[in-house]
Amino acid sequence: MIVPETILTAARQDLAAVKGISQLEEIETKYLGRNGKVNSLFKNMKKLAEEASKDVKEIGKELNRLKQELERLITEKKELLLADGGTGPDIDLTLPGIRPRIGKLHPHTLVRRQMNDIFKGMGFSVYEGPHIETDEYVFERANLPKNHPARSLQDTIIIENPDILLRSHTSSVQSRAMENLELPIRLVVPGFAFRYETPNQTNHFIFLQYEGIAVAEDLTMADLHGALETFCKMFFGRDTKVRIRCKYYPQVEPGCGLDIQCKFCGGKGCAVCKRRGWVEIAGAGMVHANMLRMNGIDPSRYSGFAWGMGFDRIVMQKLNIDDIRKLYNGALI
Amino acid sequence: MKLPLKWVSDYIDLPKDLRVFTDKMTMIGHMLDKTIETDTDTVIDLELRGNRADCYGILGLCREAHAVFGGRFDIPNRVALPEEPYDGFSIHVKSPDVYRFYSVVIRNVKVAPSPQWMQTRLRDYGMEPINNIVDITNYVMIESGMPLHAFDLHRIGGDRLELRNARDGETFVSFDGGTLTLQSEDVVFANSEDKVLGLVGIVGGKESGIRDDTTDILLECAAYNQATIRKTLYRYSILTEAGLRHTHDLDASLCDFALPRAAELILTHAAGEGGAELSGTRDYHPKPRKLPEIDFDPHEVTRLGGVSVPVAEQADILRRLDCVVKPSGDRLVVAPPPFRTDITASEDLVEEVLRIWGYEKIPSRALSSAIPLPVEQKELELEERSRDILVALGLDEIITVPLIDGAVIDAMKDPLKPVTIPVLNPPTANHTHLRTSMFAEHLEVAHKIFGRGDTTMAFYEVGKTYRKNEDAVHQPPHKPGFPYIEHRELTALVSSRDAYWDYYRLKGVLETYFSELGVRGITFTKEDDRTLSYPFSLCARAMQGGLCLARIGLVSPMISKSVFSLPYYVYGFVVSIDNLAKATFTLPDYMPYSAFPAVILDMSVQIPAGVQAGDVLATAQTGSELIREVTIEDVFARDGIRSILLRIVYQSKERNLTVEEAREIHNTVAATLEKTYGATIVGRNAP
Repeated sequence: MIVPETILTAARQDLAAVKGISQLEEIETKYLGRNGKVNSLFKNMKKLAEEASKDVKEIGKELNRLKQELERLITEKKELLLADGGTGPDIDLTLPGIRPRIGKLHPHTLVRRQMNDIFKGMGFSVYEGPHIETDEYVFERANLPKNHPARSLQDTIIIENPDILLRSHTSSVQSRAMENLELPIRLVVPGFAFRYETPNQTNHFIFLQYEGIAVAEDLTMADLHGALETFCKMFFGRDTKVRIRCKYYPQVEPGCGLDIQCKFCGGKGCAVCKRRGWVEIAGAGMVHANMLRMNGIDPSRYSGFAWGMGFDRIVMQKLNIDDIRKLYNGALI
Repeated sequence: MKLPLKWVSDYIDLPKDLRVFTDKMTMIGHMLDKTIETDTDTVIDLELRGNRADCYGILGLCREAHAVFGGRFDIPNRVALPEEPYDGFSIHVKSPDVYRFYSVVIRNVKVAPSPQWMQTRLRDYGMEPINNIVDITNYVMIESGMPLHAFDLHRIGGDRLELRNARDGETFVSFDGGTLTLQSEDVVFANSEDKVLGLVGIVGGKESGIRDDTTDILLECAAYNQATIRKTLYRYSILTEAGLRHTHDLDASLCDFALPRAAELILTHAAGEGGAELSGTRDYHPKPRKLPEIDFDPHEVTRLGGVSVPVAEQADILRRLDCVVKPSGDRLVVAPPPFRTDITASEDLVEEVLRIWGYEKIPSRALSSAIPLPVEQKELELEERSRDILVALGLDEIITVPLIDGAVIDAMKDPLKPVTIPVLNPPTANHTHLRTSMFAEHLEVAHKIFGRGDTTMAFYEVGKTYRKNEDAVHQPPHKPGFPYIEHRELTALVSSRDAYWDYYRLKGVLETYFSELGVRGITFTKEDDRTLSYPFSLCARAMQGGLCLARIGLVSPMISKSVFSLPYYVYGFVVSIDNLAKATFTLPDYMPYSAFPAVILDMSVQIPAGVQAGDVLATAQTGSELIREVTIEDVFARDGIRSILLRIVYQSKERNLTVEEAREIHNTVAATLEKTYGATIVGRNAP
């Protein structure tokens, strides 16, 4: 039968020219409306059957196929127009998306990586050492001989009296690095340390220290100042003001404290910085000649700088965590 | 150390702007802690570091300020003490921990309130006035940093004072009325009747102290072994002002100032009618400290400090700090003052020069020396990658403490108990042992998660476990024979109400984890040994060749339900990061698609009891080079016979594979399975 084919071809041409929904609706009425072309064919079925010398039933089937095909073409065009017009099929664009489930990294990991990346950019490698340590590495080689006053400030968790303990700082790793690696070295040591302490909101018997050490033939306090200033500017913001001031630590000489200017008051002094205008970030200094010597390094030829930061406090400030215990009891997931 | 500023201005002129003073003191090593306004004065509290015993006195800090700001520095008046010994009373030192004991007997004193100005200053400092004698000892201690103590000469009991180590179990009634049971490490004052009168350097007893009717006193000033005093101080928690000062390295020479200074004040402010009388001194000081003379190369300031300070300027700075400086060629010979017990070597002098010259003048220089070759610690790199992969797979990272409760170890019936390391001084009653695995803490976390109403959990931790080293095999960097070992492990734990987390899903996580790391050729074998499978009741080992990389399984409900009251099955795995570091890694396979169509054929295989489906799969996978992939589409059991449905994808990279060819290989694979495992092939069709 010729007629359906002709109508289909015409409809295709019409649809191709359609530019908007209202135009499409006109086309739909033209072909499929009550007085549309398809209905008028259905009304003339008998006549058509005679003309084509076919059974009326046969013609009915053909017309139904024509109708279905037209409906399909119009629906298809409608979807295209809707999607193109930005209204889409039945989508509420404001409903929340269905998110794939991914896990969360621990705050330590986020901040430690940020710090590691900064120092890696300055040629430092990440280094680690054992938690169970000997008195020799925790104290003797850290220039804290027996009876040194600072020992009493570091009440240790003891495994075997008196010589085996959980390291009370990560300076032990500095010694192990100096002993085991070829000079020059540039290392950061993010690691846990342990002290005999009852956990409360601000103190715990476990804490993370972020230490670093560089030893070479030509390092001075200017290098220390430069490296740590670069770190502070990258970590705390480009506009961060940094200062070093004299401060005693047994592991270094000359020693210094590293401060950043208080961001809250701009150095004028406020409650956050205890009216000092500055906030202490790290203890640092030139590696003590005794420490170099004890680890087999000639202090007249080599020099080095080292620093240590209390990492948990920085993490807590950065991520608004109010209780150090939450870092260690699974409460953050 | 608190500095009441009116008191300070007795000795030096303060800068007009207080901020200039506190900033500079902070820069040279005495950080401003806080400023306190009292009714009568402004008090500056400076944080003191442990090495500067001399700065526990106002004069010590004034000397520091003077070195920076210059101006006047007035040392207070002292009376000349008689050198001849006092009569009728003797001192006997029997402890090696007493370095110096310098004492004077003053007769005819009158105990009364001290002058108002002195009371005000003591209050500004933070001490309550008591009476003129006691106040003067405190006043001079605060002024000089050197503690003093006054005895009522007639209440000591007898004619001698002995300084000796306590006898174990000996008791002493302290000033506040508490009874202390002493140890032989403590050093005490004892009288003629061998009665303990006080702990030297820390606290005196009530009976021998100054009272209103006291007329004659023994005033003493001493230097002790600071370590001994420190131990006693912390042992009995008697944190007196005197005791705290004696825990630092106070130089015995400070007695030469403090004792005549206190005597001067007593003669002036506590004399009885007709005047008080100095009736002699005794000085026990057998081995005065040998003072160091340091051969100092001024270039060290540049080498360590990174700044250039003219030699003359260096010498001047050191002299302002009371060092004796003698030029010797292009070097300096420097003798630090005796009270500077912290200066012993060249690097100490570098710090002295730098801090007075000004740390603020040390430039900030970008690191410019050669960058060392990066140090590889493969375990650390693997730990970081593990964290990322597991987070991507939907697990949260946690960190738990490595100290656990011994009672929990017992409750869990941990087979590793014999090698668990106890700590001698647990920080709390629930943290008594180092963990041999992370399960105790992790199941506790799980308990909290379900306890707060969550219905699913999935987390992991990367950390260390510890155990006694029974085979004397050591972990680097410990020396061989070190009795303890540390393992790096990754433990993951999952559980959910809706059974989303089951063994297969977790195993999928582990498999993806390995493939993402580039660790291939992993085979899983069942672990039947109850000790090795702990805490799993069903456990498989993930092996690469002979290397066990992980254990995975169902946490025994006897533990998860009975001990931790967890509501659902808990599955977990433990990866040994140490072993992982020894594994073989391959880069990911980026296999281009074959341009030729694949032929897909299924095979239904009945496998006899005891045969592992995983083995059958592995054999099928290696059946032919034309096999691209084999998957298990279904596993079912009927009448006790297990069947698996294998789907095999045959594909060539070079040509069209005909269905006939594929069927031929399919039949060969079937024959291999029948032969190797006694399997029965019950169907082999296109899907």
